[in-house]
Amino acid sequence: MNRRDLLRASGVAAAGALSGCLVGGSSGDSDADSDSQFDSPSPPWSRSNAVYHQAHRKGMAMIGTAQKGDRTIGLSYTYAKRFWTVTGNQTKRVAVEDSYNSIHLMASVWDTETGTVLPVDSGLQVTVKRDDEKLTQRAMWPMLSQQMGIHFGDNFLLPSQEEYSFVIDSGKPTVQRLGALEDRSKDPITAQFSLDFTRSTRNEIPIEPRGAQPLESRGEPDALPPMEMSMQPVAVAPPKDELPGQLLGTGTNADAVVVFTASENADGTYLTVSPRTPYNQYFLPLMSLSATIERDGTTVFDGPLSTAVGPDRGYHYGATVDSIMSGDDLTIVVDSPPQVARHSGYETAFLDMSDVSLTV
Amino acid sequence: MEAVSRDRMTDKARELSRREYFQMLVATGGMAALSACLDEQESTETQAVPQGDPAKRPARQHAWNAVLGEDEHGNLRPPAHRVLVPLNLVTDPNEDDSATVESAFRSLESAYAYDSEGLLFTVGYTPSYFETVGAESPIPAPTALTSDEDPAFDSFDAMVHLASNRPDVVLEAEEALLGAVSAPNDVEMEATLDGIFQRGEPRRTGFVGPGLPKSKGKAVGGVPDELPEDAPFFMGFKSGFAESQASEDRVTVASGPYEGGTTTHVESLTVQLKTWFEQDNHFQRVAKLFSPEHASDELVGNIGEKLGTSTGVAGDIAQQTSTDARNEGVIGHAQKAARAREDGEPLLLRRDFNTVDGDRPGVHFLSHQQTIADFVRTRKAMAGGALAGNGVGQNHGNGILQYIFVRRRGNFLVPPRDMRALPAI
Repeated sequence: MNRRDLLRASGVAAAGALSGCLVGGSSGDSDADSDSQFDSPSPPWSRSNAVYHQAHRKGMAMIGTAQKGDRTIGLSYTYAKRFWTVTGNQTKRVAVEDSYNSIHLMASVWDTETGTVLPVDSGLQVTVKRDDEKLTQRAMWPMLSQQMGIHFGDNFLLPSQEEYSFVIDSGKPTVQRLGALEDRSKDPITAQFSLDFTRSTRNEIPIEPRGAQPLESRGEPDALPPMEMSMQPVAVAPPKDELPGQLLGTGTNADAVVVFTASENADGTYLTVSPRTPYNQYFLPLMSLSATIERDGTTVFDGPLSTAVGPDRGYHYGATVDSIMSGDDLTIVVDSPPQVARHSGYETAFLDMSDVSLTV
Repeated sequence: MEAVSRDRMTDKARELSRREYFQMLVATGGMAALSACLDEQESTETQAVPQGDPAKRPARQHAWNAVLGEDEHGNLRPPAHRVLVPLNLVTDPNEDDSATVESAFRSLESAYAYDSEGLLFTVGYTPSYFETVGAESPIPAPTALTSDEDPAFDSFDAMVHLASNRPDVVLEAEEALLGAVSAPNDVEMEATLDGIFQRGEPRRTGFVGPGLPKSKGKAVGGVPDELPEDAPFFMGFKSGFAESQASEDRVTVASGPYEGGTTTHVESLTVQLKTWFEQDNHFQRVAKLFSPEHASDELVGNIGEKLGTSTGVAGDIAQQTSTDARNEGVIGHAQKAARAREDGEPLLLRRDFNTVDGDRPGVHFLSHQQTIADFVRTRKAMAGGALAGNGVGQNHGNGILQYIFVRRRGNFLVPPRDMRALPAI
């Protein structure tokens, strides 16, 4: 029986430091229900197969962080938010039904030393408890948002204003790990956090702007920048010229930017494919990609790419091939687009993806 | 005390539909619930429950199929109401005790006919039982089977699975076995389990059948409006299709001291219906429960009515599971499980049912199989661990794993009927 160690995180300290952890802009005071006034299935300002700038800037409040072995779990919350779940290239909009006592809970896991955000294929779970009563258990959605990047999240309607505990089980990462992450433990980690939920504290989380007018750039081909957070890293992909190896080129596809590099390793050449969002450079996880390399009309490689994460490359897709030479035709086939739920501004992008090709 | 609860139950009956009320009584259990159940039956002129004859019961405890009846497509109709009664030995049992226990079971068989309008039941024994009586257990102790579960384990000695279409029958049979009712269905109990066994923990209850999940969900709350009215299971679709079920022969122990018996595994699950119904659409639910092909080709219908007697996952669709994971980003629960067939036949005979034990929607996934290893193999195929990271996550897009949470597991040996009373003593 694999009963896991339960880590009691510094929930009280985190709650005490709460006001210091409200980030994201100026604070308001009214009961601002985030999305409801713009809650239509397809906002008129949304852009076909492209990222658009969301209507409001919203902050979040840290519930706490908990270090366990070489990893850290961070838990935060904000107002309940609408989002879209993704299956294949189909989406389903999840509306905020009852915002009164609701929160949007967000969890992420990162390598403590390098700050590398660990991938989201691990099946992280949360159990919400009141005293010792288990209220609900969820495997939260891997999600992408303009201000928070990749995280696990879901909306929770809390029964009342009182203290809750959230037990986070990280799940077991499956992705291949490179470099300094190679020898890190793969066992699941568990941490317990507590939140004394009040609407008034939640409503101190900043929203901009507060009035009926949205941000000026709403609907533009742009994105809100990542939130500046002192307590947890954001899942950005490395700038293309900082990726290890030789930069082979970049392509775009359904508004995703795909960067290719090649570097030598003991077995040949390692092809790195790093798809990311435009503007914020968040890595795009949970895709299935294959590659073909043609040289002088002959296919010299044809196979799937595996997912991997390393401190230099972040989360990416890669394969070791015999060689990549100047003049090779490289094609990346998108077998399935990123299977992550989307917050506003990302729900139409990175879905109907075609092949990306370049000549080295 | 009892009178007070009875009054309360009668009041309650006015607020709830008849079927909601009966299910509530089964979940509550005990003499007060039974009494209220019988009062209600009396006032609405239900048909008499047929009595039975032990001589007409077959040699296999798990041989129920012959008397279950079929739906319009030819799928067997599972009995609607269930109780799993846990039992602990309170004595160091001897052969006289064995005769007493057998007599109690035979009394039940005299009281109720061998069919779903009467009573169907099996008696199973845990590894703890065999240890207690100093015998080697023919089955392994339960263990966690997936990386993200931390279940409790059934550690009591024996379990009686009671099943009937009549809620008053499962309640009355339970009380009669433990000595609280002396003449169930007007047949005198010649013996009871009292003094040999006492009730253990946890008592589990449930129901299966068109409309029951919806009505029961209304009674306890926590079940989304999107659950179709006529769905027989909480996930919103039919289940237990004839083609997906192992035969009774397939799950029967073929040799050794318990030849003719079977094994039972009970996996008690909480089902996260809120995310399943409110955050996924029908297409996504079909893709995750059956296969992406079922979703894109609209093969299922609203609740599975288009499927007839077969999910159609065996063969091509099961074989392309890993390709689907990469190309579709999602794979179906049925599609994955069908990979664990032997010579084309499934290994498990499912007798699972819905539950609201703990006022939370869930499933008691009870199945019979020849060996516990057959269950483990099928469950691991369903977990799809090797597929994670290759197009689908550990639980996201990986069948229904995102929505189910394992609470408890138990393994049982179900001896052949002539050995069901305290085996190995």
